[in-house]
Amino acid sequence: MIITLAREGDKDAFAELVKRRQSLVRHLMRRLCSDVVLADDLCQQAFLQAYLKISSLRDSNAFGGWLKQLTINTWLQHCRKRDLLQKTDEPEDLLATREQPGMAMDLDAALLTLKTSERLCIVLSYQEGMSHEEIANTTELPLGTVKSHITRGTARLQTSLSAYRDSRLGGPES
Amino acid sequence: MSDQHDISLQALFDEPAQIADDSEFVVRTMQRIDQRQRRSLYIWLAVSGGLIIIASLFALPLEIATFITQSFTTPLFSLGSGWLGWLMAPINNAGALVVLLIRLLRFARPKSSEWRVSLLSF
Repeated sequence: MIITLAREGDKDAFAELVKRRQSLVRHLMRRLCSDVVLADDLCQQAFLQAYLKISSLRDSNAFGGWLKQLTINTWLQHCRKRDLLQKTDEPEDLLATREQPGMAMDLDAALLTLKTSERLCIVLSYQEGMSHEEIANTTELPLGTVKSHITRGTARLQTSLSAYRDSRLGGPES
Repeated sequence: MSDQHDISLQALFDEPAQIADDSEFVVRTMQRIDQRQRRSLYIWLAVSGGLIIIASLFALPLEIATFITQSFTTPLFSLGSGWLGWLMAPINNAGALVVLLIRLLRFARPKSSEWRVSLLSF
């Protein structure tokens, strides 16, 4: 009902949609980018795009997936503007982590140690539950690249998070 | 989800989001939408205004061009609408007179230069 009203240009209905969906969108964006302020800025851009394009949404039930796609597209546009997806250099944080292998890190900090494209694939796979094919279609990355990003990213996260998990569980994991 | 996942990593990702509902975020987002709409309106107004100015700037030269074209087709002598009028129409107008004058000037120019050459050689 709210989505239908928003599609017809009702601003209050759209504000209600923002209120209801903001948590999910912001959570996804914060996982993708380290900067909370930037994440919120990109979320607003995503909602703005949603407002401008919502009249073209045919199925109201598809709103959630559609909004997620817009959020990912907004992030991808941001990365493309800054050539973040093409960069092959390892992030500086990762090097810092390797110098201090025993340091406990939470998930967000560990995600920062991944390359942008790796982080994107990992978040879409683990957090959003998307299949490799869906990620490849969404990000326009080759399927093989997506698979290798997820394999390599998982291994890096496991290394980065081992100390963190140990500290949370109260001892080394068997 | 058919792809294999690391279970312990998945457990970390599955932890509930700690982002509280933020009414300020909603307000800022809606303000941004309003700003965007206002900006679109201003751009539309600026483009419309620009088109009107361009049209008015081009209106005068177009009117002059139309006036000249109409003047050139005005008959020099009134020969009526009979066969003689139709026959003489291509040369019985101001345009034909202008063309004739230009041809005469171009015809006269070599002669004057020849005259100048002969005067210098003398």
